[in-house]
Amino acid sequence: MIELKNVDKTYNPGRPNAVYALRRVSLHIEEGEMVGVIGPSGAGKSTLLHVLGCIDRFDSGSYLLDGREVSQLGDREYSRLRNREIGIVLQDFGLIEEFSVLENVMTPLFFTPGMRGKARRKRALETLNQVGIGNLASRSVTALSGGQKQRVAIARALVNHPRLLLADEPTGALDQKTSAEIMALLHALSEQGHTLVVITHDPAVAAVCDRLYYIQDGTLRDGSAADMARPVVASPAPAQEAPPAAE
Amino acid sequence: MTFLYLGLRMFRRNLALNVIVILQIIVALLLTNLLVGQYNLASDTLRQTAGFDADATYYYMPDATMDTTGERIEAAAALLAQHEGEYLAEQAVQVFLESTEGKDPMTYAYGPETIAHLDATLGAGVWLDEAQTAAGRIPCVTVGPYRVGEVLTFTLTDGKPLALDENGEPIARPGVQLEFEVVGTLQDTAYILTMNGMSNDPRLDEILELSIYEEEGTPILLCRQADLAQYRQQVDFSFDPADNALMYFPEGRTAASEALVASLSEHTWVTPLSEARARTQEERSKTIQTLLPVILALLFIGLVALVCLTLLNTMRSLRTYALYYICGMRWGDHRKICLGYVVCLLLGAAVLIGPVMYLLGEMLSLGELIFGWNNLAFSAGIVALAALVPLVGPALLMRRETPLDYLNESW
Ligand SMILES: Nc1ncnc2c1ncn2[C@@H]1O[C@H](COP(=O)(O)OP(=O)(O)OP(=O)(O)O)[C@@H](O)[C@H]1O
Ligand SMILES: [Mg+2]
Repeated sequence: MIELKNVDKTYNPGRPNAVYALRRVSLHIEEGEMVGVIGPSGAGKSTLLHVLGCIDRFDSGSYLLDGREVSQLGDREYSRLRNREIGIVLQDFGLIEEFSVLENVMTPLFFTPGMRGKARRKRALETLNQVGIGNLASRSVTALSGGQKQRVAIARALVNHPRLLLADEPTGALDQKTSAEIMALLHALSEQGHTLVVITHDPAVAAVCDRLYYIQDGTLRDGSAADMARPVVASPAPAQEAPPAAE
Repeated sequence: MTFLYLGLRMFRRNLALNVIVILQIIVALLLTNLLVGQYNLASDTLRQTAGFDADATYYYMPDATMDTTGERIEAAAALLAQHEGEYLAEQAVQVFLESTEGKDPMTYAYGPETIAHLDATLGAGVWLDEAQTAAGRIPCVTVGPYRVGEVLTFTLTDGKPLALDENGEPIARPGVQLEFEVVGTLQDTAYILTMNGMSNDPRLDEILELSIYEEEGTPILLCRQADLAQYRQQVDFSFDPADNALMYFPEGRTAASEALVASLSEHTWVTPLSEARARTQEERSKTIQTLLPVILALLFIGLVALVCLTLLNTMRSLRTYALYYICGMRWGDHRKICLGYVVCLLLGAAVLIGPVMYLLGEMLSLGELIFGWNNLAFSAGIVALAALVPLVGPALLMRRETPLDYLNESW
């Protein structure tokens, strides 16, 4: 389903503050897999997720999504992918504070052509029920607990029935018990056939994944539970250094 | 529709401030409207009288120069009598029609020259010079609740105060019952030629007068003196040289005519129509010169407020836009949301302007005098165009922004 080949991504290219966030990253994810990405802070995990989620473009390399080269797509098609094919759960929930729970979940449907008001509400409510918070639909999102917010974020990612679900540290801001609940929810989605990519620091989360990747200084390799023991803070990477060859 | 809705969200987020801007838009709209209205009114008097030979047509006002002895009027009347046949003088003769039901109309009868030259502001039908009616019916042009083709029955009277019999009961005036047929109607706010001016430097709006129908509900009826002439025996409405009149010289401006005007000027006020027109034009420019800067200043302030507010709202909404982007919006479409927001402001103004105008109209009893709908449509066009200017701000602001810049900030 996903095939990355030698993807490079540099922030502020050509400037003194250039950051090589991804260096020759290659990965392969099958339909229906649940894959974890672990690595120290600042390693490029979120950047990888943004590239996978068609939020951000990359500099070179190739990204095949269902056999289509993403970097060739125009703005419209690129947006359509975010809207229909990919659901993203952001590191900090990414909810719109002045919207109610239901409206937050409906948001992607505003950008889906042919979705009318009634159908939007119905679909959003269904999705809220699916993640177990149908009763909170009319609440303001500011009045929710962390776990509830995360469920809203997941519902929003799911509302357009995407096959690929990306989650950036879905348990990072939650306590242990709520984390377990959210993980159970994500695992259930995986069982239902969604393809999942989960970024995490959390060994418990990593344990649920079918497979792990480990990323450090923008370089990706296959990972294992042992990598979880590595220090969370990255060794400072010299910025000007050219991307090293893939291992 | 989606973007209008998302714009509405942006609008609601800052409701109080937005309402202030809406009020500003309304004030700008009303003032623009006032200016356009004043301009149009002045232009209307100029247009209506454009057919007169301004140089050889004079307006004289013995009425206004009356002294305690009445000597001046007598002298003027004597002079006019001496030169009878050299000129035509026509008045807007007021005649009195009584209605059996509803209000009595205010009625003016015009002479043939006046009818031929005056370009009245018709709303429907034809002017008196083209009127055709069945025999026995008198053609008339009206301002009021009547429609073209309608037949009206009134009693023509002398309009004098009612006399009382020995029991103190009023004695009915002598009168003739007449049938009028409406051949044309004027707009409710039309200028009517009444020749009621009372100053020695009249503008056209003293010779013509704004219809009072809108305000008082008194209908106005205009007809030909010739159609009433045969009833002069029964009812007295003869030409009185002591009344204001328009004076025409069939031969144009000649030495003789100028001599007559000069001697007439010694007893009464005489104004060439050209002077009245010039004064009207001057007044029209003066109105614009005084109002325009005020309006421009207000429009400018409103515009600055709108620009700031749109910019502020955009800046506050950047994170929301970024989240929309993740949910599948094209980044460039934030402009549509901004447009939706401005449309919401304009819709708000459009909804509120009705009641505001109604209230103002009630309070100041200005009626449609100033707030004609056609003027308003014009002003609204200007304001709507101006309201698009604020879209430039966010567009510039957003040129260098990407959604990624706003994703990792928590709230
Ligand atoms: N918009 C940006 N502009 C410049 N540099 C950036 C930008 N976003 C990220 N970076 C840099 O790129 C590198 C990778 O960032 P990324 O957010 O992918 O790390 P991460 O692995 O998600 O870290 P964390 O675990 O703290 O979320 C970091 O050094 C970061 O400072
Ligand atoms: Mg991150």
